[in-house]
Amino acid sequence: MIPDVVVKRDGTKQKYDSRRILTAMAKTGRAIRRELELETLNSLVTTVENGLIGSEVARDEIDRAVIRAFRDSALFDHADEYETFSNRRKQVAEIKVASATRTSSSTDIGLLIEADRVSSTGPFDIAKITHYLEKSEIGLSQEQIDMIAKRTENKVFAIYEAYKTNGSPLILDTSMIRALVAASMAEIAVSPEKVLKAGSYGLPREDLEQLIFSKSKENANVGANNPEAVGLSIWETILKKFALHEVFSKDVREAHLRGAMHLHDLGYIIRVYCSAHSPAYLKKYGLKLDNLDTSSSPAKHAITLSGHISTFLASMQANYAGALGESYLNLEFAPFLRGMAKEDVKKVREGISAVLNGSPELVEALGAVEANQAKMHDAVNEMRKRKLPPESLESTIAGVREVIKDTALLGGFELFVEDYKMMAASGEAFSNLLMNETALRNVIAQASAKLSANPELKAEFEYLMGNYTDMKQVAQNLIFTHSQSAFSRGGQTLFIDFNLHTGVPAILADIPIILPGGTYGIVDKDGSVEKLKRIKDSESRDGLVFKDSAGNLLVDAEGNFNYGLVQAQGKRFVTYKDYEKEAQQFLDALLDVYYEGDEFGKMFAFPKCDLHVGRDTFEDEEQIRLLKKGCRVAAKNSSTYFIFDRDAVTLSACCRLKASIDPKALEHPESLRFCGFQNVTINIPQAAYRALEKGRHDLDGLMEEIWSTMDLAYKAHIQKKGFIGSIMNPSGPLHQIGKKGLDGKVYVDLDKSTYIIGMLGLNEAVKIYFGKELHESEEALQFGLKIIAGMNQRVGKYSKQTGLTFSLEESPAESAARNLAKRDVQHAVFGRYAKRVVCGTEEDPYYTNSVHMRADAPISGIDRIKMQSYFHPAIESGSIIHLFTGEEELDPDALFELVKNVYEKTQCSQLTVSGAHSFCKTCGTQMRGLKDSCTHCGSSEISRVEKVVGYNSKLENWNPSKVREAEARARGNYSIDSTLLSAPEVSLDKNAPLVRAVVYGKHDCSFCDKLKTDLGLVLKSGGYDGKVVVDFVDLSANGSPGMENTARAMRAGMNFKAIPGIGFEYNLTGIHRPVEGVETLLPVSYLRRDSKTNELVSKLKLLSARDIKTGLDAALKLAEGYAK
Amino acid sequence: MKYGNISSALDAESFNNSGHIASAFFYYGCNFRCGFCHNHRLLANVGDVISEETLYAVLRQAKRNWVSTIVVSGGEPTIDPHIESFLALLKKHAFRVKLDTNGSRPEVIEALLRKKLIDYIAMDIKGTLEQYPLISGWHDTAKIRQSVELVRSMREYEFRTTVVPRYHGADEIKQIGKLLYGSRLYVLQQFQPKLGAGCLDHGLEDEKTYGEAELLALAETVRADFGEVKIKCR
Repeated sequence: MIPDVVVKRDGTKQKYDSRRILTAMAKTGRAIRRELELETLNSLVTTVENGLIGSEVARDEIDRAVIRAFRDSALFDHADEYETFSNRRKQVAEIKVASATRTSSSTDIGLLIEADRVSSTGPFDIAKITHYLEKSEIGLSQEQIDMIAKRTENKVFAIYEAYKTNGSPLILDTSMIRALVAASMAEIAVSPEKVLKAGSYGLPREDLEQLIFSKSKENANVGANNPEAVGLSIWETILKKFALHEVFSKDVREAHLRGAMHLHDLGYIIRVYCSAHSPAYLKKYGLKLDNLDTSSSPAKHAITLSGHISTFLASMQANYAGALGESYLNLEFAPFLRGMAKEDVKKVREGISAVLNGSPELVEALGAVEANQAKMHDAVNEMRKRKLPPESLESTIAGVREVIKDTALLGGFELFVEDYKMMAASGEAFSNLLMNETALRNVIAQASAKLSANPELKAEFEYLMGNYTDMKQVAQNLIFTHSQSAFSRGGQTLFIDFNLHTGVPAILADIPIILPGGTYGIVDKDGSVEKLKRIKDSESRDGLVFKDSAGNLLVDAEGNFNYGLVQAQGKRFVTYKDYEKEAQQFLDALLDVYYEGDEFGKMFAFPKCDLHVGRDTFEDEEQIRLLKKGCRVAAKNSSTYFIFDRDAVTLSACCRLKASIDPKALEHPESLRFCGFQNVTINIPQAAYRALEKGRHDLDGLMEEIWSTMDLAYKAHIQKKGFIGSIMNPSGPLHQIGKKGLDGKVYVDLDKSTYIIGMLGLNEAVKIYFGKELHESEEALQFGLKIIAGMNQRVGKYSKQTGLTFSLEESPAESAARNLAKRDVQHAVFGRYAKRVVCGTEEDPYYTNSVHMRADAPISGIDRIKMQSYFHPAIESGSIIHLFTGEEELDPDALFELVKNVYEKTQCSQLTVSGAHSFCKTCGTQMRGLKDSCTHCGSSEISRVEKVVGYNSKLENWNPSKVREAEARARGNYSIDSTLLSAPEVSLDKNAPLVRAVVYGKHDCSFCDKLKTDLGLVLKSGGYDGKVVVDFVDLSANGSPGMENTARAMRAGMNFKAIPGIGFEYNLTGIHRPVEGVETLLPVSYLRRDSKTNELVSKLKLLSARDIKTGLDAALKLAEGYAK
Repeated sequence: MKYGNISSALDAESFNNSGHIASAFFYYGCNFRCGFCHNHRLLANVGDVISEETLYAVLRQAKRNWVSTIVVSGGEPTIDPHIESFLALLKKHAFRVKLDTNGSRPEVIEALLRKKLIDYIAMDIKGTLEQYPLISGWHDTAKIRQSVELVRSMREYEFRTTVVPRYHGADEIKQIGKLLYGSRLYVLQQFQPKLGAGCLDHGLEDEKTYGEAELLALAETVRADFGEVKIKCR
């Protein structure tokens, strides 16, 4: 009889459906691989139904009926299987499964099962497993799914049996079920990746305990241990696994695990890498971010702006794994600082000088008697120069009095003497004042007291000192706040770069600047400024226009400036140049703070002081003074990073990121922001080992290996790009940067970011493959250059085929340098190669950083600077040269001379003085060099600081390989002395041409053709017959010739952005050797505003005939010295 | 050698106080015998002299390495008869010349200055004039005075004293301040008893030396006598 209702084991009732019996019986057949035909099944079902009595039938009854039906049909195996199956199900009903209630809130997912959640438990149901496996898109076949589900169920039963004896109910949680599923998958040989995907990305208990109880020092990059730091380690570990298995494909993952390349910051996979931001963005729009509850309108005061920047960076750091830079910082602050001028320092300085000089009138009035005039002038100058103490002063005064006693000058002279005595008494030379706050305060006090006889001078003096104090206050607020902003991942302080400029660069000179209150200004010919009205578009929350007092629209909602209308009124916009003075004074104040350090005089590791040096810097007295001051800071505490801006359109955004700016983008500095998306570093030594294993010894063989790894790096970037793009939507974690910023442009546009490929260990690669290290021979160095040229060529290819910007970077590789070296040393095949070249010790090996010379290479600091600079033009995303000075304190003026030479004679992009410093944790004394105990109190609680890669950090936090590297450095010669003979001499045949004039250009370029013509003319006219040969190097060539050409240009110190240029080589066969001391001649690029369209266009000023002749003559002169 | 007895040893001291990127050459021989001298290996006999060819090569290398200033030291450069031709050679190669001297040959200094062969002079002041015989074995203090005046006539110069506690206390320093009154720059150098090859008088190697604080205190006593007073410590 066909019943109506089935009563299930838990008492619930269900409508009877004969299909269920049919299905169950069919499943039985499949389970024992003896499938039943439909006809047989139908007949069995009929038999079953015939055996049922009543309209309500219990489940057990049906089961018994099915078993009987099988037996009666002589399907004994089926009967047994079904019996086992139904017995199990009985047992299973007694097994409760605890699981967390699945809500859409991510906070619930991580919760452990609590006892009071038993109510949300459910009975074990194999269907849930099947369902999960089907839904999880792991890629399993239905057959596999069924088998896995069955085996899992068997395991559950086995566990149940084991617990049954205890008498306690069995509560399993879902993670345990998951583990059983994974085991079942493994048993049927499902591939490991798939097994992993069914599992969870979690942390073993021991690891967690280690983190919490700090049992291991391995993860010592995070300085302080605090709950945030523990959190950091946990999620880094988990996200690393996720990244490797879910974001990147198998081949990428394997390349990383093999150590062929290194994917940096895997634990930060849901972030982008590094960045540069514009203070102008905050100045114009105010502070508004998703994570902040409230909004601020644009700042009107400097301290407020500082606060906005600080909050902005602290919030933004959540989206980035690396550094945060602020561009043009002192220039942007300048309008907020007018009225805080020390300007007036210059004015007063001059006024006092005038007094001390004996005013021009005084001197002039001496008139007729020339001898007396000269004597008077001299006497007065001598007094000023020598600051003679009272006795001598008196005798000089007596002498002068003697000379002028019968003239009308006497009265004026007496007044002068009074004033002079006052200033002399104040004790410090004016220029020294600004470096030392205590001294400054003393001077102010003394001077004020003594100047009371001269009220005007006193008033001016006090005014200017007060103003300087205000500006200094802002500088302190800015630097201390950003140094102590411990809101980054793991509770670390933020990694911040302050980009500071010695003057307003030409490209910004006539760009309108944003004033306090977030508006622009217009100025008339008399210099009176009108601030525009800032009007928010009522339609949208953030739309902005700017109007003058007459209601004219001068800046529209798209940001277009109505230059025409403004000019017609005889006015112009207020620009960055208008505030250059304040910007420079602010730099003075900032450098003072960097010089003084913190309460104990300790240097600021962050925010980094990135001091930009450009063409204008050396042509302006004030900028030179500021650069010298930067050198003083560098010499004292290694804070300054000198960043060389070599052409008009490259902005060095943060410590390593350089970007070419589209001139049009310069109109709106508030939208100038950069993102380094990700860095993937290529293990060049390993590529060399692989090539050698394949029997290759030629450059092409090595490049093939490098390129194939680079292709995987490229793939990794594209994969991560897709992933990041998918989490930039409104509900994704990166929406803050994925959405449009307040300026209407996407804050981080993935199509405009820079995709970085780094390199590690060039020196070791060249050593094993070429046979010599980079510093050992010219040929080895050029081999290294070719490798980088080849990598540069490859990233160019990636850029071209994607339209994205790919570029090379000198990877900091703080831990990668150790990890990759260790892996290679321990490798079964690579080990024998690696052991021959790796640096450090067997326990703590490392590869030399990027393209750097080996830390203890016996070459001078200047050689190091020169050689590493050759690589910089090809490494567009940033490079750095360290002048490690240990405990030596460089003379600041010698350093200035060095910086000038580096700028003028190399293509170096960044230089920093890196001394070793120690400070006592007990008494706060600052010491030079790495000390073991305090020179003041004797304590051994010493913190030792040096630049680890690109920033100052405590040695106690470094990994052991980095410590080995520091030891090697101490052995190396980094002084700026130059008594080592490192360049071998050259031998030329005096009967042959001595010099090769090399034109570096591109195929089909009109500028290049013109230059070739000009060169030809100079050669014809100058009597250079037989002395010079000409060569043309095409930098746009492809393949091997392209690589050779690029390497040659790099060795010549060619700037790839300034083409065409002329370099001079000795006419040698077989090797290209530039004539040392004769720089490659480069054209000058600059920006000009088109007078009609008002658009900024970039222009090129080519070499003149005179430039060419000068270079040729200098090269020939040097070459003649070698001619035999 | 054509340019005098210049040592072939090119191991450089630190030249960080020259204000420029600098390279140094050391002459053999000295007419003083200061107990605390560290360059004493240059004093007694003439050892390996640099060859002319090597000298030219070193100068060329220096040019390549952006060296702007050559420091001529020793020993005592002004006692070598070839000093003028050496400085002329340096000038010909467009180097800036810094001369280290003990001031015992004002006539030599005067001639070099007249020929505009020196850009900067660093003159050692061994102690008060009365102390010269004791400290250096030199008696003609009038010459020292003359040299002081010559040096002061230059645009750029410095006087320096290696401060040895046994010889130089506050009184001595003050006296030196009076002697050098109104000069542009005075440098108090810390005595390093165990530096390098040790002292000429090895007995001095066990002497104590002033620390930074003490040197600063000494500097304060004469700060008003000079345009600038610096101390130099390790």
